[in-house]
Amino acid sequence: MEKVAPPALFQNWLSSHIFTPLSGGTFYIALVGSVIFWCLFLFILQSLPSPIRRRLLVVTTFVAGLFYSVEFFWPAEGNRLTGYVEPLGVFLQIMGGFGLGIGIISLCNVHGKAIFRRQPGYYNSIAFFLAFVLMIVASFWQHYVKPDTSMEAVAKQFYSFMFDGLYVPLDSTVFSLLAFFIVSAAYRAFRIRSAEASLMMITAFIVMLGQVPIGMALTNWIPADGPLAGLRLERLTNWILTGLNAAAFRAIIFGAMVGYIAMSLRVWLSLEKGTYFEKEL
Amino acid sequence: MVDLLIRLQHIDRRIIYSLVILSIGIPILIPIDLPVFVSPEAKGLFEAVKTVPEGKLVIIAADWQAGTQGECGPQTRAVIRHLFQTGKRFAIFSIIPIGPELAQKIAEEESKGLGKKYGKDWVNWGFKAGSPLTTLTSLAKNIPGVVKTDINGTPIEKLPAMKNVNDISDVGLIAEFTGSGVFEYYLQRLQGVYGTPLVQGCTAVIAPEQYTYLQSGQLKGLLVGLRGAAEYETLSHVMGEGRRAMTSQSLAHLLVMALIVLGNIGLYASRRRRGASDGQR
Amino acid sequence: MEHASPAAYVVLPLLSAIIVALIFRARAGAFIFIRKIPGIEAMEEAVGRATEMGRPILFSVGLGGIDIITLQAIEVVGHVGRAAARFRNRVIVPLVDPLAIPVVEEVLREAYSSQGAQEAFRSEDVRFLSGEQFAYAAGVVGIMNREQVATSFYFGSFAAEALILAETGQSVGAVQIAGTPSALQVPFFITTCDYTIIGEEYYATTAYLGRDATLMGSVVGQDFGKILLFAVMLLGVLAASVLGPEAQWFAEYVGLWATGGGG
Repeated sequence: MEKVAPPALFQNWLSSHIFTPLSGGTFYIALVGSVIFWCLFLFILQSLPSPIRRRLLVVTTFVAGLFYSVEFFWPAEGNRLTGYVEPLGVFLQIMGGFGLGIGIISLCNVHGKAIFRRQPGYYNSIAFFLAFVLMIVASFWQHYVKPDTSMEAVAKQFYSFMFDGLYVPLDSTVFSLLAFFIVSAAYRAFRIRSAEASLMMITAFIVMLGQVPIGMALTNWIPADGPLAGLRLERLTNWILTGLNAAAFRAIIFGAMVGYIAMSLRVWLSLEKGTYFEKEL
Repeated sequence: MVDLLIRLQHIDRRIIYSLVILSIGIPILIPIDLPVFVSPEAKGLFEAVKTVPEGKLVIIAADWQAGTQGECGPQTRAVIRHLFQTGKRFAIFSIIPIGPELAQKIAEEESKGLGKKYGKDWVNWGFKAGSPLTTLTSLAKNIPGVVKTDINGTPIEKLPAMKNVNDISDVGLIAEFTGSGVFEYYLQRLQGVYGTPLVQGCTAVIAPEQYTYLQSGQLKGLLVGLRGAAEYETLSHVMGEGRRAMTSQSLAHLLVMALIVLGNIGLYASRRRRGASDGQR
Repeated sequence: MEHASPAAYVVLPLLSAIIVALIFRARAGAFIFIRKIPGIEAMEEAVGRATEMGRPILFSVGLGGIDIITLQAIEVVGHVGRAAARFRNRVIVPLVDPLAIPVVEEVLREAYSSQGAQEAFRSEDVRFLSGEQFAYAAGVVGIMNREQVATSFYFGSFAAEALILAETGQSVGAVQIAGTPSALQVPFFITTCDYTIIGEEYYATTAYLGRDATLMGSVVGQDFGKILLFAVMLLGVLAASVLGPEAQWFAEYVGLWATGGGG
């Protein structure tokens, strides 16, 4: 069972003196103060020479990665960093939420320009704005409508129409396209041009037949307990998927994971090269 | 005749898609109950649900969206029905926003026929925003503290189904249903740390990757796609969506194989013609 | 696991040390060889084809947020951008994560500037579509059909929408090159794309394209890391085979070593 970690370093002091919930005038003062502080900080950062900015970035990246590494390798018992993992996760989530604003601006920019310039297919952009506005209205209305009023039923019906009537079927429909695409892709790709292609096709046939009752019926006559039971299509399929296939997947995943670790190390230690990582700051 | 055979290599996409619609659509209108072979992994999931200790809660992690409800929906429905039939209380939960709403509809439909009551036989914790890893870590230590209210805003302590549910030790099984890669969060933070039994229902597309976890024993059972739902319904002696769809799936698989064979016949015919014309030169 | 198990204490630092050591060895001038990867070799040709046809290029960086896999894809966007900029061709990059917009825009802008083609860069070609998987897929399908892209690149983490994108690319006649560490989508890309870059080849792409010593050294480090893991696996398999299934103590010992006592 899990060993309990003590509170993180200075966590109690920080929770009671710095990160306390604020309200009223204090909240607004803190909000304005934060904005001013960070604007000043960014201004100072911009004024620093480029090599110092880069060094600052390297140190910040290293310290941030070091926190998670040390927290991971430090045993749970006595770990003075685990307490910060949750608040940091929440902080990152909030930062990520602001990204939604960038996305909305981008969408409005692209589609707004298309309508303004009457580009070909601009009616699609009108449809985007219509759907965007209607979905926002439906969601907020059904959430904030006064309960036990006549409008509550209307709001819930409208939301149900937008979500259950439009969004859910549309999402399912796009996923369902896979059924058609898999058939056309298989028809085009499975051609016997080599020995390996033949082997792949035979395996594909066995697995496809072994997954469905009609296929299983072909080898139903083989006794389930006998010595040849392994030749029943469903058993053969199961063996291919859990034996051969699982081994191949493990091999690919091992390689990909080692590559992931290598790139993570490079980014953490600021050794990564490329347009983005070597950009002049 | 040879020209016709050669043209089999290039069957128009629209003909292929029409055949797909017919092979899937006709059996839906004329359902036939085909015998379903139950795989060891589906049996494993069934047994895991059956052997949940008395008094323990089951978590139904509905981590699927509208797009994957064709596969995950019937799986979730089959397991929820089984839980109702065996009198085991469960909580619907998700780290994906839409999952709890979709699963709630399923639970409400199934509860009607079996006389089950919301709040007493099952609850819906809803979607918990935030980093999945931190949410699950906190949930394991303090369920009421993290969940606080159900999907309707009712305080969790007011719901009879949540009596004596404090932390992960009060959970007997986690049944995760998904079409994406969120399963690893449950593995890392719940099954891997506390040893809580974990089972999964997944879409057929991601199933190959899940077999490795089945073999290592980290997963106690697995339902793969619509076939998995059909297998579970067979074990539960119920004629549900999964079993009804098996004829469609069988015909679709046979169609794929037939098209592959036709394509290869066309390839063979064109090779023979090329060989014959080379010989004439 | 929440914290390192005994195996993690040994394997992770060892792997890291090997990778870093080989990076520094490569930087010191050691000769590094990377075998030919056809998919990467074909990128330049694919961009040229799009220019000849007078049609744009589409580059999808997948479903991931700003993570390691997407950062790698963004580096490849830079390379493709530079090749496209030489011919003043467009690269359309539809995105799932809005946080990636400024990053990709900056990379592409730099790529076009480096080739003296600033005026050919259009910021609306880097666009956020949706955070939802199938809404993104539908959007990309729409772009491919409306813009009639001649070349499509799929680099990053993909899920079920991979086949939707690639099959649509097939239907518009695009040359397609895919690279993903998502093992599940590899079969779909192989059947629909002209070239597919699998598993760790994905992480070798930037090393291959740029031939930078650090990246090349890292690729060799990865290979040595894999050899280490393979040796451990072989030892385990031999031990389990010799001891036989009755030796439960061995399975328990390995379990404790791997998970540190968790489930």
